[in-house]
Amino acid sequence: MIECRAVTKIYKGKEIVKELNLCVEEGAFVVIEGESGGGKSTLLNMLALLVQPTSGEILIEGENIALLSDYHSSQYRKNFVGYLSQEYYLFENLSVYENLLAPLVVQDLSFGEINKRIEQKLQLAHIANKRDAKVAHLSGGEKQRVVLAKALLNNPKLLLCDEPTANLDDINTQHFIALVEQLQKEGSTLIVVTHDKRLKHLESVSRYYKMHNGMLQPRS
Amino acid sequence: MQHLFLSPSLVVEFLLNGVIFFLMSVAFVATLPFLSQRYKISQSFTYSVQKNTHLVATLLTLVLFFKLLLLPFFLYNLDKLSLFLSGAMCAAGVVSANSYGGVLVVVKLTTPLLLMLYALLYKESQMQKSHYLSRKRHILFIGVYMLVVIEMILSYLYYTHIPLNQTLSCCSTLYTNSSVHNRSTLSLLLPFYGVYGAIVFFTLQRKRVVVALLSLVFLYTSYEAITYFFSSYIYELPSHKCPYCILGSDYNYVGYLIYALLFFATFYALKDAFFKEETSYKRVLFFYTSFVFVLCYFFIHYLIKNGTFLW
Amino acid sequence: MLTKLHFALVLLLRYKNKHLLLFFLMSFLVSVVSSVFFISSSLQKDIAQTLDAQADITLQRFEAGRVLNAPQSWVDDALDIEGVSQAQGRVYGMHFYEPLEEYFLVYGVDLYDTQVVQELQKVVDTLDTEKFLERKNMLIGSGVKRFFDEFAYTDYYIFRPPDRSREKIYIYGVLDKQTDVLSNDMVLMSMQNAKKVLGVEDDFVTDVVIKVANPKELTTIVNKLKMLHFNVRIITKEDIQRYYKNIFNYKGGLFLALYIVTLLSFMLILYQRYSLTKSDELQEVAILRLSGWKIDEIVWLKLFENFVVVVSAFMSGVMVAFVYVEFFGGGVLQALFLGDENLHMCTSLSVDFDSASLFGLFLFFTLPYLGAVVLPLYRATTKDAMEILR
Repeated sequence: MIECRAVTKIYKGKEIVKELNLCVEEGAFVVIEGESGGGKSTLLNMLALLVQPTSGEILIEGENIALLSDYHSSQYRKNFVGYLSQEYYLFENLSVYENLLAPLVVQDLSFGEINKRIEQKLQLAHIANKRDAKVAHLSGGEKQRVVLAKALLNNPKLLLCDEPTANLDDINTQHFIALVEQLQKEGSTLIVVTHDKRLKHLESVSRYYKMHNGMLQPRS
Repeated sequence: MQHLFLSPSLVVEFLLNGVIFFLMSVAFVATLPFLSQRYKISQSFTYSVQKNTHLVATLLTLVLFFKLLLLPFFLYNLDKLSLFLSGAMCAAGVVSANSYGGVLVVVKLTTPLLLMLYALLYKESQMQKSHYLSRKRHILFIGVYMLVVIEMILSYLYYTHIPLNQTLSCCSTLYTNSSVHNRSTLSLLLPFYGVYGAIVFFTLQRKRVVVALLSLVFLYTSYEAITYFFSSYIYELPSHKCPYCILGSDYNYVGYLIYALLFFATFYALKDAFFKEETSYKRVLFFYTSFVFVLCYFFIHYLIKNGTFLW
Repeated sequence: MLTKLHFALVLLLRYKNKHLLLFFLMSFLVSVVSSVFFISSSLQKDIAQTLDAQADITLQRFEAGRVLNAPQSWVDDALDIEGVSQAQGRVYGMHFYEPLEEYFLVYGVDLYDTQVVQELQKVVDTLDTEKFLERKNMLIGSGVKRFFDEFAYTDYYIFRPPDRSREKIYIYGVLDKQTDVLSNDMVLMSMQNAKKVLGVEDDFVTDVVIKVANPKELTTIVNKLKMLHFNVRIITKEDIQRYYKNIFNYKGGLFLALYIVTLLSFMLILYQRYSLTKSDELQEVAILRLSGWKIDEIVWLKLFENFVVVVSAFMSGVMVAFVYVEFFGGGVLQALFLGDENLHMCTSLSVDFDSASLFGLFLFFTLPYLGAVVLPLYRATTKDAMEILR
């Protein structure tokens, strides 16, 4: 279970997230929407431990993850959470395969296991044909699929998605929707920030929130 | 004095010690917030200083790596300095040039030992979900930092007080004139083998604190045994007693091996006394036994080759 | 571990261009310092070899703080001491050539006596003494020859002794290049001619050189020599060796100390590279944090990358220095050690170094380099990853 208690983030004197409270049970599918600058991405970043909150607690299964040691926070990022960012945080000069190596080489896996996992996730994200292509030569949609494959590498229990379909065409959006529904059936928890109606109106969505001026409000 | 300071290898050593001191000072400043209890009260304060522990650990690991490389280099420089100082034939004469030399050597050997223990403490604390902001570890670091400051001061005092116009003593004068020289072989070897035996016994019994204490005693008995007994068999000369000459090229730098074995043996013996989980007893046995074996090898080799003792 | 290493190498190879500038800069810095030390050790070796053949003891007459010519009788006094196997008076001095403000060494040799200095004995052995003594002849060093050739002194040179007379001495031949370090600016002539040129009286010599039969008795013999006369000054071969060792040591160390300024500037460049907020390096670090890397794993990766760069730069710098000194004679860097008060040298050097000094040089470059990388790297690894990427 994921719980945020009075989480606040102040960045350069501005309150991006204000006293946010959130409770997400295991296996839930949560959709968050709101205008830009509302703090949605910052919330996801805090849940992914990519940004430290200024105050408050972020409890995952009762443990405040913001206070974890470096060893445990990296374990959390590796094994628990998958993050599908809006921007493509990839090594431009490396190939798709080499980009997917980065999260796996710190996992104590053999080369064989690493290769197998990469192949699997590339297939899942429908980008296997671009395995050896340099990331700099890929289109926006292709890069998005690489980021998706990377997010799924460690079979995360919590998948955080920030505008996942922004650069995808219809076919790939359908693939993505099928994927998230499958993941949810398998028990993963999903928190998705999106404006895409196709995602928002999925039957499997359990909760809606609107984020405005750093505060979260539930919606029906 | 300026000429001595401008020996290239000393210039290198001073520069690197300066770099180490600078890195340690940065780590020291990063540790200061943890000495207040504020982090227990204010969560936002905790979040803001949490990252400092990473800085301290990273810097100390690097400093440890530098120090381990510099330690043999320091000993080598002491030996080389003897070429420029009249009377000193090896590092023994150089170290005894003034009262700071011996203390400096001891401090230089102690600092990497403590840094290794700190690094392990940090690694262990990382495995714990809480208490990684432990105040005790930071206090230990402050102690190590103070030792580094003392080392810098001692280095300065030592090098600036080396008498250039005085003839220094060489090892044969220094060690044959000491009171230990007149002790019987049995009184040198009995404590040496006795303490070694006790270390082996208590290690197998897993009495970690006892082993740690014995390891410190063993440092002293080994120093005496090497200087006044075993070294003669390495030099194959009854009148040559010196713990430093074995570091020289004439004896194939065997001294570095002997002292490295003793250093790591002491480290592993101390290590387990600090940690809840005991992991090092095999390494303790390995290093101590190898150390004793190497020393006995020279003694036995001489005996077999020449059929006589060097009394 | 292997997988991490593999990834580290992939990253290094794919982004090698960003390391190239640092690699070349570093190689250049290393090659300059290595050249200096190769030259120094090579010269020291040459000098040590030549000094080995020198006399064990040199006696000088020292009064009122000045070195004066010693009486010829001191030679016999020295020979009377047990343990002295050979004693010989030497006549030598500096001749000043005013137009160029250059000095060269005039050295007189008794060609019928066995030389104490072995190098001179080798020269005397190869000389046709009768022919040499037929007229006022001299042997000149290669530096003197170059100077004479430049001023068209092809056949003879006229010396101006202190008594304002003129001494015409003919050029007989050139001294062996092998002994250039000590003989480059030397002019060798008979004892008689040297005394005339330098204004040394007949019963006097410049100093007395002594060889002892057993080097272990040196200290005793030195003490006995001190008792001979109140105004005697004694210099042993060991003193000279230590003097040269100190000079080279001092000059080498001084160079290195001043070089630290260059090194620090280089470290600043490194520091800048890792601390610029939007630099590629920080972006790379943030992406690795996103991928679940621990701080010490990222630091390890970056240190490994830089370690590979610095080791390869060090090796290439040392190789360049080796070629420069061995095949091109070390050029202008020689002047650091040889100075130019005397006639300019043209020594050919053979590289001679010891591994401990090379290790010391390696530490000199590597450790500050890694230190300059790790400090700003910490800021990258502990900043919020998103702060860097946004």
